[in-house]
Amino acid sequence: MNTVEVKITSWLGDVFFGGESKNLTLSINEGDTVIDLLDKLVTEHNCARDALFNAEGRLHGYVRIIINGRFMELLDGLKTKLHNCDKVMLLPSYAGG
Amino acid sequence: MSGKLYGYTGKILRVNLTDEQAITEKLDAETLKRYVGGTGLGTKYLYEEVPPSVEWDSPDNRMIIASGPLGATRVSGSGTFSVVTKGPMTNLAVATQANGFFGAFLKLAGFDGIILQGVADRFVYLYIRDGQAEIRDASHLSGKDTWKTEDAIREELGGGRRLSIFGIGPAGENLARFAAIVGDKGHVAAHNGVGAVMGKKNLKAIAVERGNNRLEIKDGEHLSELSRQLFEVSKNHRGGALYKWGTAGGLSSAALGGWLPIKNYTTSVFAEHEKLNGQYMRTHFEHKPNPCWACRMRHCYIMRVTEGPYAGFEGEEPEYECAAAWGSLIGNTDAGAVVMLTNVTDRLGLDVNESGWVMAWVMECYEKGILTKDDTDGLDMSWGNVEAARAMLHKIAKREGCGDLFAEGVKRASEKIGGEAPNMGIYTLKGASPRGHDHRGRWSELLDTCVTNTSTIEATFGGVNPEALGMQPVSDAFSSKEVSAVNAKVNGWRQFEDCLGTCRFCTVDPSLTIDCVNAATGWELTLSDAMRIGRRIVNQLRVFNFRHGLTTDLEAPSPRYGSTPVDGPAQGKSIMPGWKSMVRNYYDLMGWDKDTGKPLSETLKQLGLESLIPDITA
Ligand code: SF4
Repeated sequence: MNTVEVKITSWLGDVFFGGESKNLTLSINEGDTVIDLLDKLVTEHNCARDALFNAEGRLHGYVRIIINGRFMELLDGLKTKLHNCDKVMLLPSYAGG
Repeated sequence: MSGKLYGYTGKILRVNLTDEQAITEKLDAETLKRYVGGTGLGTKYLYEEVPPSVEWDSPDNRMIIASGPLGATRVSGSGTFSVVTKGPMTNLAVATQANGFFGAFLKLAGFDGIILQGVADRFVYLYIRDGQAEIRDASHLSGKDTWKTEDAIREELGGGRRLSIFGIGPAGENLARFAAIVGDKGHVAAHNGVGAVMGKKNLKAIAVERGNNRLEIKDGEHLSELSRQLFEVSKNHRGGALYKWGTAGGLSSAALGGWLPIKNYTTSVFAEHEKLNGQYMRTHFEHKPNPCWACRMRHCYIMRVTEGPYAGFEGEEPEYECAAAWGSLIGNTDAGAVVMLTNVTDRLGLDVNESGWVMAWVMECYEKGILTKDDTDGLDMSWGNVEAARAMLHKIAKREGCGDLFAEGVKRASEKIGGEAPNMGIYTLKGASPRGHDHRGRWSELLDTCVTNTSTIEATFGGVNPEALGMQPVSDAFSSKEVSAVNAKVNGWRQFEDCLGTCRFCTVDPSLTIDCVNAATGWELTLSDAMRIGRRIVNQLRVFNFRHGLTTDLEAPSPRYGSTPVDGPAQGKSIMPGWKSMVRNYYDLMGWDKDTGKPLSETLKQLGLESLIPDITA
């Protein structure tokens, strides 16, 4: 089974789990992309939906996603394919900074 | 338009320092509806009274300080005020804000704002109370830092907590180009050298006594209820992080996201961020609340360092930008030293952003041998040497020795040194100082910082947030086209917000904020009215700037500011290949000429600024 490590940082960690930062290991299927991973996260953690997506289903502008140390926009965005042992970080913008 | 005014005093104080006269002028309903307050009112007076022949240091330069319709109400953080003038970093317009109590006390003393003009022939301070202003001798305050100035005036006037005092430190007195105006122990109107403008006018401070002026609010009960709702939304905004950890709580996010400035942009990796963030400081250091007017955000504290070489040092809690400047940017990892340097910067009356850029640039030049001890008056300016940084801040504020050059800011100092030095400095070609981030992974702010008309971020704040205005978010933060389009779409809101006399942290919901304005004034503004007012301010400041020498080649980053990150999450990605098209697209969508950047006549007409058309086309 392929897995990825997901690190949910700063206040997003609070919103999801009541902690400042949270590490999860999630299983993925061959060919899964970042959006598949987020879908899985939302299915498993209901409170994640509003924190990550707006009413139109678009990722909120304050959420930056970093895959293996690189902004996802510099890879293939939400369509970036994930591989076994990849590290995905969800990083929210902070009030005022 | 006439009728009773709600939410305002309807008066502005005009102080001519040359002849030491203060008069009260009326503000009519039409003017207030058009310009609202704060930055808007400042823009009106700056535009009308400061022609292109007037330089920042001329007696004819104006400084307008103004609250707004929500000032002194129950809306959280309604002690905020705007300062608008022509500033020395850009020699163009500046609009900058400070929080605290001053804006609220000014209204309760009977004024919506103050216009300062002329130059006093002696060192003075201004004392405002009960609809009157008195110019007092300040010779005994000369050389005093901003905190001591506050204490001395408070003692002299005996007003205790009924006084709010904002003034300049040695930096403003000595015309350091990035001098700030500081007051209420830790609040700062920081940008574009507003402290130097005040210093040039020989004005040390303004003390305002709260007074008993009763503000007429159209629907006080409704405003109270709306204020409560707005506070709850603001408190819980983005996970309630500001409420829990202050702005420095965002330092680790910045480090992980590559937008923390580290060692003058020579790297984007900083492993020690957890030793410097708000979470660390609030769980390790003693702190007691130091809130602003009507604010329960638990954001501002007075902090006492409890460990390390600065144990026992007491000062204001460092904001994110202070922690960035005095931590990662200069290669320091001791949070106690951050508290110390933050307090030294504020006491001397310097802008922490430019102070940080100067210090980091000096340190890099020192490391590379471009500057030696001969150039730094013997100071060892190695990375992380916080005592040398402290000594250098004093030299800058007093323009002593090498400090005289560095008090000019990175752009001018590096150009004077020449060679590789200007390529290593972080600045905009216009002279405006970037905020305390590494913007190379946050293109919306890099663009905003370069094309701004306020000399600090104009459309953005903690990134760009179109969703709050009912628009869709940016889907690709590295798309020149999308970033410039969204910046142009959202521009207006922040300038409207800066008209209100409120702190931006407390007005995170635009719709509720507008409801508050309507409840206070009896107006029926919509979001689109608010955006139009904000865009009118942006465009009027832009016409002012063109008249005062702005050219579009200046709307670009310095080589280092626009450089390619060598590591971190945006490694290898440069904004510069698409810079020109990004700027042109932004101009176009703002209704400005794509090539010249000047507002089109059509745009000015749509905003009710047709009277400015001859000024921009002349
Ligand atoms: S949020 Fe902070 S800066 Fe703003 S008014 Fe409240 S205490 Fe002051």
